[in-house]
Amino acid sequence: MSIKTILSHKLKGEAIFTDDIAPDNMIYGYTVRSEIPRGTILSIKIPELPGGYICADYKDIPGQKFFSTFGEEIPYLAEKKVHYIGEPILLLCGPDKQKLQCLGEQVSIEYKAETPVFSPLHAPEENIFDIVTYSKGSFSGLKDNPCVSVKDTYTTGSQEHLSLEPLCAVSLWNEKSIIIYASTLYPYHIKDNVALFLGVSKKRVKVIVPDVCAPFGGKLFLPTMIAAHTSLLSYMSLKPVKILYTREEDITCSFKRHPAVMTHEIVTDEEGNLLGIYADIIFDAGAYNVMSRRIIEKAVFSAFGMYYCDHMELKARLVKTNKIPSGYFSGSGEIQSLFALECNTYKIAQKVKTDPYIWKKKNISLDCEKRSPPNPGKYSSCIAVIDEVVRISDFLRKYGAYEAIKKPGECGTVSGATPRGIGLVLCPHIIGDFYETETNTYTLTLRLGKNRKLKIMTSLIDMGTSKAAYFAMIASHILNIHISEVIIEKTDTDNVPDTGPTIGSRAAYNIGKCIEQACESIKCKEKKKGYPIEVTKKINLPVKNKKNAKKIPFTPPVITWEGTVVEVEVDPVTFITTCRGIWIVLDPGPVVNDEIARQHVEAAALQNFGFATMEVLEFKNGKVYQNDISEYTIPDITTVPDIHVRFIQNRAGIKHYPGRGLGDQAVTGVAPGYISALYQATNNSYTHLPCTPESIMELMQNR
Amino acid sequence: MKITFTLNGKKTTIETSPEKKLIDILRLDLGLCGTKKGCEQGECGSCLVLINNNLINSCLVPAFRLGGKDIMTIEGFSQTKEYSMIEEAFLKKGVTLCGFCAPGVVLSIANLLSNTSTPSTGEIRDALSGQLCRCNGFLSLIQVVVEVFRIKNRKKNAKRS
Ligand code: FES
Ligand code: FES
Repeated sequence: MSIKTILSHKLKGEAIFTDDIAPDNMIYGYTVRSEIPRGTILSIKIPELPGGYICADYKDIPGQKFFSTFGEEIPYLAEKKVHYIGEPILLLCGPDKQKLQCLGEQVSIEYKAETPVFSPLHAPEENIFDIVTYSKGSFSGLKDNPCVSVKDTYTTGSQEHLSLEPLCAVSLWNEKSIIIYASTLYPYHIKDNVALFLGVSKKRVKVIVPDVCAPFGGKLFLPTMIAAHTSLLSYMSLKPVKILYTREEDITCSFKRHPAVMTHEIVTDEEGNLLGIYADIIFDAGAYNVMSRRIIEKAVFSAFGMYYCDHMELKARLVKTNKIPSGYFSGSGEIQSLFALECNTYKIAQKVKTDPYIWKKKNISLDCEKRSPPNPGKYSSCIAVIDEVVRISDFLRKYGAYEAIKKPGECGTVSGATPRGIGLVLCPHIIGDFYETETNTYTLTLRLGKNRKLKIMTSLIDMGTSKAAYFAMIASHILNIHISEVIIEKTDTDNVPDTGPTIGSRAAYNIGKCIEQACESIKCKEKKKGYPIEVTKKINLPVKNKKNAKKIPFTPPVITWEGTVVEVEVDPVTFITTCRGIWIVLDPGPVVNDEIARQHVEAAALQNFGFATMEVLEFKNGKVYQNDISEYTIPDITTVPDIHVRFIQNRAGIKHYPGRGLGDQAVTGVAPGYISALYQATNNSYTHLPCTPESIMELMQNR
Repeated sequence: MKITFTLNGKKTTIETSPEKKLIDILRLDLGLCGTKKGCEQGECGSCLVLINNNLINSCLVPAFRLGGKDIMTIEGFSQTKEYSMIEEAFLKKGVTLCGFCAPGVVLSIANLLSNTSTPSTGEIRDALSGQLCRCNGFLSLIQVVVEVFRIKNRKKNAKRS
């Protein structure tokens, strides 16, 4: 299908999502979940089930009872212990959804409750899943001499992916093999784990991924659990089984962004020259350890950002609590860490009476190279990015004007004008954050037919048409064929190889690079060989080399720079805040399609804007409080501010394609930019995200 | 109960329970899966349809309210010439969508098309406010709507001349 045809299908409502799959004789599954945050299951009473209804618990699992998450293994169904409210314990299935729910609600479970841990700050030592410490020079010794410092404790909340398409899987067991339809970003994770779960060979598990809505990496691991549940029920009932999460289930039982508590301190001399940075970062992992090392690595790198100085101290840890597990969310780790760092750099600039642009330029350390193997282009565009964002936003003039008219110590201006503020942020982004390991077997295959039509076979998922467009453009450029001659094979594990998890920046850099190499091989073979020409490439870039892996804070092989400016206006009476504009400049390398890239950045910026201003997910005694869309507010078309996006196409170190990466990478600068702008406008320090109008008012009134 | 209504221009009679929601009738009984189910609470807009030319969340409408109504889903609307203009604008602007919210977005634009001749940005925002989207940053959707009206006016002028 050409890219145009794909878009047309979507607009006509012809895109098939998992919930649109309804095989004959299909029945429904229902999940009975833990009602307590921590304890032991003593007994389970199941109501009498009518004919056609069955139930399953952990004892019915024929094979492996846990699945992997790049962290620790998570049980498909709780055996004895429960660790969070919502943990699956029992499954039911039957033909009538309402009756099923009724039966599910009649299941009564007796528990022996244990004292839960809800805050990572109050967790015992044994709850620490992972810890990283780093020290250079003597940060504590700095204060022996005259210096200026800013220290604050920042907190960021839990964030929900809120994919519009709820989690869903359909399984069909035919006594020999199983076919699974699932809304997932990682089909082979389902295939491999369900094979172990059912105790069958991998050949007998086929995963088909229909169209998917999975913004911000929200469907990476949990779909494996749901697919296993439907597979078990199908295996037992010998009928196709579907589980579609209700919106409430989707919000309250899916993995979230890690909440964090960060104490951050910056020390400079009286001229504002950076002397030291201290960071203490605590992540709330929830009940299970999902990908902890990757989260911590990104947080550690971002805690110092581009400021590398002589005295640095850091401690980062990921702590278990009895809440829903935190999982992958684009920008995981760095989004929290950069928030603390960049809010503090703005404050220290103000404290030493320098504008933040001058302060940053003075203290950006291009010596960052010392931390990593040389990679031309990695840092070179950092200055260009900040210069450009300052230019297009008119930052210097606005910053100076707002400083000049603000009343010291309050939210008001000497001229009577509405107070305004403008924040400036510079962020490095880690690209390809699922590092390939030496043991990886991820591949993709390209086949060029006689008619010079190219087929790309990969298990990566295309949520928009951007992956197809991006890959097609790389291939068409190298092989000199028209984009419409490039076909991306549908995601079916019988037809496409395991290309690993679908993460935007990984797709853009690692996989894009691999497509480039495969096309080059085809080009060479084309001269000597007949058609079809098939090339399979192992995905092995960028490999986190062993030497670098041990280095803390590690430096990623590839970085994209982001410069962001946010401008706000605050009503001095109601404290209602209006975002007057967001300006973002990125250097993703060569941009294959400017329009698609810009849309990606806008969507990512909007997500970060929601994270900064409105997306509140609260827990009451371990239970998610906001359980529907009306309670969990996300930005919509009425609240989206003007977002201006520019790309600096620095080609250093890059042959043709791909760029350093964009994919659906996070935009992390909006949150610290917004808070910094508020700091200038109101003379008040906000340290918690989201910073809602209510919290601004509360803080201003309590001042 | 038996209910008769017009669906995408065709008289349709179904046998259903009075409380069954229109979204389930469309998706489960009539196999029209273009209408998506995102929340079943009237909050996300994925299930938008046009009923008597009004934009309505089909997850909120029980069967007993449907008698005699004129219902247009994305399957029906995609056969119209207004749809062609909307598709042309999307293709021109190169918008990327996962597709889940797309039918709701298209029908929201359709509704605006039938009510306004040259909407302001504020009116465009209001018209699309019933449809949430988590993958697109909305700004390109606003540009699409501007383009739809440009196409519409171009076609009108071409007809006149
Ligand atoms: S499904 Fe009807 S508004 Fe969400
Ligand atoms: S929800 Fe995916 S494109 Fe709108």
